[in-house]
Amino acid sequence: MVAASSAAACGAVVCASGADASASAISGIVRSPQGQAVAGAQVELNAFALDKAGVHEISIESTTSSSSGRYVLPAPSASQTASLAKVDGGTINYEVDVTSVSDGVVQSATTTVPGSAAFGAAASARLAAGLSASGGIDLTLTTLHEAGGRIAHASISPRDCTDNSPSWNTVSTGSYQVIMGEPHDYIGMSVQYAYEQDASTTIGIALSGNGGSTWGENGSASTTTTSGVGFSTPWSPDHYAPYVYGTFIYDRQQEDFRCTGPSDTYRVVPDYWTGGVNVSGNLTAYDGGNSPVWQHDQALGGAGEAFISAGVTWHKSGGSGATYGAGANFAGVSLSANTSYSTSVTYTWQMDNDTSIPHVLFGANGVYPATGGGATIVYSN
Amino acid sequence: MIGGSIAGLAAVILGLAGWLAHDYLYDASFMQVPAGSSGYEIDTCRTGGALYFGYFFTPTRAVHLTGVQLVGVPDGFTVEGIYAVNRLKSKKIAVGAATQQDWDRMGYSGVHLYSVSDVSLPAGGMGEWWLVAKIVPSEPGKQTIEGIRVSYNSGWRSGSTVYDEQVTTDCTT
Repeated sequence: MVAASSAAACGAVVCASGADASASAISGIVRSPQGQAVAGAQVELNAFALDKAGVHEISIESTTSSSSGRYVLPAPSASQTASLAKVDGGTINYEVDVTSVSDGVVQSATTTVPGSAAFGAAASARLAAGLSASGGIDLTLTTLHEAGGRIAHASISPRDCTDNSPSWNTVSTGSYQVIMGEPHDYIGMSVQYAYEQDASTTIGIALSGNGGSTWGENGSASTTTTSGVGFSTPWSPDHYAPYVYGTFIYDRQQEDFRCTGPSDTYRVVPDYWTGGVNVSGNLTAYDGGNSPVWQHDQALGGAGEAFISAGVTWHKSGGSGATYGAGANFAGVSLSANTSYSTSVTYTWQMDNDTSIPHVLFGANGVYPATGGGATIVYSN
Repeated sequence: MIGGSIAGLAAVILGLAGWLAHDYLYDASFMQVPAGSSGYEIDTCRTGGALYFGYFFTPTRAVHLTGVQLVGVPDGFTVEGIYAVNRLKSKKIAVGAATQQDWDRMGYSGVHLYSVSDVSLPAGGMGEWWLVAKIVPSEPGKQTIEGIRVSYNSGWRSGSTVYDEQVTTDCTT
């Protein structure tokens, strides 16, 4: 993780000796090969993360040594360590890397610090890890050599921060249940959702600007099922209005600026749809005469109603999506979900064969079939 | 010779202008067609028995209907007629799909059937009108009517629009 000019560099000598350390930080002094304090050295705290991409090294914190050569790296938060690889019964191996340029020559140092010996650990644990019994972690720079033994010269000029564009690094993943649909049927019919392989859903993005303490919705992202097969909900029972849930994998990502490094801004974005689905709940208590759609329809003199004979099936596919304000819930924030059924989701209502009752559909927006934005939620009466 | 060339050029210009004007005058798209498709399917029917299917339109401008016809009609169907029903005067909700028995039982056989050319729709809604097609399947098995084409005027402009609203029957003899 040392930001030097050669990946084949060698010769980094680690000298870890006393300074001070606390339960909330790793700190120490950066020194030159001659023992003088080095200001302006780039210091990084790294660790290995384990996620769906496998094991890879990630940067947790970075800083620059002060005029007295001192550096302080805050201890990672619980959320930052959640995805880190654990060894030997739960220990996280951290790595402190430092890089500096002196008269055009690259100098570096690195050391591995077991989590059990850092952040205010007992003297015995520090000694067992090869550290001094107390104090911090001082790092002594050595000249970096390229393959073949040549001294590595800095080909880099001082850090150019004219391009400080941000990117997002995934630090952990999780699964969430997302409301994807809400088919309604009332009396004398059954309803089914059928999702095709490429059905897509747009879900809100949760954003935190304070390291994950509080979250809000900010923007959205679209994801499609990757299961390779479509699925259908079971035919609903009579008088039923359930939520259709899909399971999505979310990524927790940290904002990382090209020049200044990671920030305290995190976001949770949908990654992919597992293809699973379940149907639960029954919202019919909100339907019937109390339904705002039904009341709107009645206010228009029944303009949106249509009589259907027993045994007839009506299907609709394509059109605008259905947006659900509480499609997903993350950290107390209701993230919206919009199931786009353009060519990929079909709703089918099957009238039962009871000829003693009239089967009536009525749609949203007072027009049947619904033509405007929003859900084509069709009720029966 | 020069006069002939000028006349020829004028004919080309007039032809081009006429072609452009024809598109502008006769291909107005004032109907709001729902995205995707929808359709009815009925298998509780018998050949020779009439079926009724309703259609609803929401133009973006006020239009006056001038004609309507079903498209993609197989030989196994007889289209007896397409009519307009006034929802307010009939005091009945529209029909989506109905057998002859239900048409009679629900009292629709008593409503006045208007000519399609009587229909004027307001911008943004079906107003007080819906259309109904009376169809008699003459062959058993599954067969499908693909949609309906509606023609209209809006002021001095004209247009026609096809709706992909299918009707599929699977009747027995």
